[in-house]
Amino acid sequence: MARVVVDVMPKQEILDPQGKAVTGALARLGFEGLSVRQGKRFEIEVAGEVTEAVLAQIRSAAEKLLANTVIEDFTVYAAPAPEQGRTPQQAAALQQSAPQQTAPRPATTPRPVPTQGTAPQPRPVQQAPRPGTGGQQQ
Amino acid sequence: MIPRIGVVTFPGSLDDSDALRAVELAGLKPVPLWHGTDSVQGVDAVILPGGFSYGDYLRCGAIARFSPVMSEIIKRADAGMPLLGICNGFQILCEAHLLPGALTRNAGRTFVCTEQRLRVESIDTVWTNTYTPGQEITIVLKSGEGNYVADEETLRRIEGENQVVFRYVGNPNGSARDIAGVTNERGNVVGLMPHPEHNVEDLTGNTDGKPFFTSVQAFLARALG
Amino acid sequence: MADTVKNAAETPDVVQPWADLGLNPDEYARIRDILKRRPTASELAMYSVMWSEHCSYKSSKVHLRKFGELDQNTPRGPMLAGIGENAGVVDIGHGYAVTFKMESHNHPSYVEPYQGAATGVGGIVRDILAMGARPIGVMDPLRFGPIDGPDTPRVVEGIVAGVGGYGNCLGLPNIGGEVMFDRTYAGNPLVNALCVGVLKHEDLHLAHATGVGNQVILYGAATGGDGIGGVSVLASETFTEGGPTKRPSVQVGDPFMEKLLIECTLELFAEKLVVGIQDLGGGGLSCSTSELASAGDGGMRVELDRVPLRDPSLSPEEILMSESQERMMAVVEPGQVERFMEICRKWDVQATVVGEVTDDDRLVITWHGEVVVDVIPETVAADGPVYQRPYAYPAWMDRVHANDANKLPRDNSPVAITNQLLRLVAAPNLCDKSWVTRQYDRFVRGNSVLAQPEDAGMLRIDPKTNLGIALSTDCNSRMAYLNPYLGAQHALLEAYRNVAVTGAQPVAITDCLNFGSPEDPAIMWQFVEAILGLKDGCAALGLPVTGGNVSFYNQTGDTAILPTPTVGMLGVMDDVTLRIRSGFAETGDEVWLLGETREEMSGTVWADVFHNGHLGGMPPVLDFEHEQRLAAALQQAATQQTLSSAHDLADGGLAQALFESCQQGGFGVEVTLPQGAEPTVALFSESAGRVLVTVRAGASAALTALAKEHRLPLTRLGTVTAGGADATFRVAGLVDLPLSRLREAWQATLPAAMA
Repeated sequence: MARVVVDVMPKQEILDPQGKAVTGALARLGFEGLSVRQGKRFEIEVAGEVTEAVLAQIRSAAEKLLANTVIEDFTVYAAPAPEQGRTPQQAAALQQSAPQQTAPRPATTPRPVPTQGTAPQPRPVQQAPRPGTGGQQQ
Repeated sequence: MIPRIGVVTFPGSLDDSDALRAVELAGLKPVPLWHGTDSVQGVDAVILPGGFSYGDYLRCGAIARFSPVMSEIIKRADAGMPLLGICNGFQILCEAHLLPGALTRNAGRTFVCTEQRLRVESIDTVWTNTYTPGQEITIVLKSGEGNYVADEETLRRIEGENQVVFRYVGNPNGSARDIAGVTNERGNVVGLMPHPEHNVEDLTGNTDGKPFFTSVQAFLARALG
Repeated sequence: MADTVKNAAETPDVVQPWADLGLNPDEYARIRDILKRRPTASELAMYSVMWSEHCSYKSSKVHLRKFGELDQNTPRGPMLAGIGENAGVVDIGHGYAVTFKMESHNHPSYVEPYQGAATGVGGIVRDILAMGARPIGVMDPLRFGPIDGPDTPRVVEGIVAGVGGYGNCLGLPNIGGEVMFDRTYAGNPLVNALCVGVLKHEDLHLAHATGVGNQVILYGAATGGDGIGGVSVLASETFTEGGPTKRPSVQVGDPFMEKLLIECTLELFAEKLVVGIQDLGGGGLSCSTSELASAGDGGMRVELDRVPLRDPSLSPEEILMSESQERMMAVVEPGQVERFMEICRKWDVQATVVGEVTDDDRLVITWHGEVVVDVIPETVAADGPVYQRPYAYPAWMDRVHANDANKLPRDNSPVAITNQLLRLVAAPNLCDKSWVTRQYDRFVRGNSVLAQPEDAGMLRIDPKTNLGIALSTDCNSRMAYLNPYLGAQHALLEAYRNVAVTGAQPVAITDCLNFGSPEDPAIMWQFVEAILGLKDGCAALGLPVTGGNVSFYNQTGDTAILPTPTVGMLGVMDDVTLRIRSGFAETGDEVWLLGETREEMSGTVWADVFHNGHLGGMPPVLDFEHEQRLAAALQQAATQQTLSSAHDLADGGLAQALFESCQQGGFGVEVTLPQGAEPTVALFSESAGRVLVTVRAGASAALTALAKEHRLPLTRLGTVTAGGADATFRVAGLVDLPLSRLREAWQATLPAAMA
């Protein structure tokens, strides 16, 4: 199994309100002088090797569906295969200590209950993508 | 013969029932069309309604445009059949390159639902011939991706060719040149972000959207004899 | 290797992490007692989730039972389904029934505001769908921390985007709700979501599993690790190396999937393919299997390994606890399964037979052939612990009551009144909420006759007869803090009046009761009092409580939220074309006030804004008899088309209502306060039972007759004046402002706070 990546970015002349918002947010967090544009990345698993024919096929797929060439540019390239067995999050998680207890609350609040599913302080949770991929209405 | 107007339901279409009702209220025959079949049942015109087809995944309208029913619709539109794309329908028409330009995220980044003032820029289309030029109307707008964009050359061309059909009075989403709706060269395919099917009854709003349906009726009466 | 029943019987002394799952020692002991052995890990997971406060209502059950003592008939006839079912169902005539319910999703909305709010909407919509109804509208009462709080914009933006994002994508018009700010909600925002659906009587579906041999089908989204959070402790017990040790606490919603689920399910209903149905919400499969089985007349056997998974590494315990969204469970006769699957395929909805109804009384769940759960489902779903939490009148309430806001100094000079008016319309709890509501689609489905900012939302149900419904959600939690019993009744009457003011007949309520920790006797007292207040109030009005929701533990450290018993009121409108709107309608119309204004400044926005957050005294006097006569008069006025507008008076009092009617209609106004009336009181007191009405010039005879017939105080205030850029807002001798100045102040607050 090999992997091809398609990066899709808004064309330079297109207003990128999300990129603008991220740029502003970074600046407010103290990350000065950074200018962000936001796009999409598609990871495509292909059987066998990544040949020129495969790349051409994927370029065609990008042209037809993955990108809207009226407003987006794309690049296609072969990527290194993923590490067998674990996602990056899983690898990181296993390095930490065993199941994280939530910090005890003061007396008037209960132990955390699974269905409530929350902790008093925000703890690392997997950020799931919002419905629809980047650029969609929120 | 009462003209038959098809309204397509894609997975995630929302305003299909409203479009069907508006067609019926206008005295025309509404025909529901399923995205998955390739027949349009011989209708005289087609409406692609608003909603979130395929959840707006990938890009709004990007997946719906390849539905089986779309090949037949594109073929007939190329041959002159009246075709109206409302909101998500407009997005589908742009993705299918039946109309120029593209719709992107609102400049303000939030979904906007409002009763929007529009100016009628062209009555030279199948869907707007019963408006008057320059007429100002109020039509429901409700979208998060209504920001119309196109490159300078395209914008110059469509302005010059009278292909801008509606303009916003008070731009709510950053659309280039306040463009709210466009048509193709022939004037049979129209797309707009606002929802005329929500403006056909006094009880729930106003009736500024009715001329869409009287227009296509007038056109078909002439065309079909 | 899963923890099987056999294993559990053979290893009674294994230490189990029941505390981490939220169970206390007594509850754990009780489970062992019920099973006569230790529970398996899967059974422990099921009991812990089903016996949690959220699912079992253990702290509130004894008190909620009081609602069952109410007459279960609405003013228009008996309920078709009541408390205990997924949602209440009310007959509205012409063969139509309406089902509605409100639920909370508070804690998740603080952690992840967008997804918390989105999945809150998704959950309540599925509840309505499971009754056999097509969901047709939503409402969202929301409460946030202080508007200028550092975290408030993050929470507000996320929650509003989530409510809008999910509801809009489902094609459900948002026809009303509330937005309120108070420092006690910082860290504990409240997201209460209401959904209403319509069905024909014969389409009513209930959540029970009957018919031995009937198939149990899980359909919708695949199951992943959403919402498991703490259950991962179990995973580490039963997993060998290679399993992930962290699971997300957050549930992630996919509204497109839910839209497909709705259309698919309605087609299944239309073809009568479903014997029983349950949606998977809090408690996931644990809940749906145990509730379907316990409500039915047989048992159930489920092969858990047949559940389609998004994450193949999930253990059986995790699968049972998963709160992955957009899933439903249906009971289907064997001969109908084929057609069921066909319809699911049409809508691209995954569907899997996972079990069947059996002829014993047990719920048995297997994992790759081995039994991991073998329980009597009632012990899980229905016979959870019932607590009698101690409650006691808090001593500090005396101090609060003594701190009467009527004693606060009042400046009645024109300058002061004018300045106060300008500041009040801009106050966070009175200002324009368009920043929020314009992110919601209120038009979809084409039946929204009224929507925010009207007093109630109104939906047309039957285009042939113009039959429709009206809905309002209300709670003034500051009043509830002053006196929870009266405050709950205040919420009830406000919702009642808001529905009546459109011309509709109020018929039933749902409730969403949001409180702090039930382990604090003072908070528990607030809760008990609120329930009593609602119960007595409903008895007085002749309305049933159709069901609802309780949310406890809304507190951070020692700061509990204001007691917030939200009421959702349903009304029926026989002819929606006769509805009354709140905006002034015509220049020259006569402005009148129904009801009486008293010196009742306690709990008002005036006291809050001008006296440093003052909150003391008692809520305004409530008169149920008067409110019923007022409602009857309004219904009559609608039928006879007596009024050109009607607007309920609530927060902000008369001044706010006058401004809102000007703004909504696009007109100015000129009023004179009654002889001897004190300006501050007349304009800013929040006495209950009042409605601002207008009639065409010279057409007041019908109004005076109506008021006389229903024994309602009626006072002429003034006249509607011209709209346009030069419109003015005048109170003789006190206020003379261009309406635009008030509008600008009113519109500026929320966008500025969110910028």
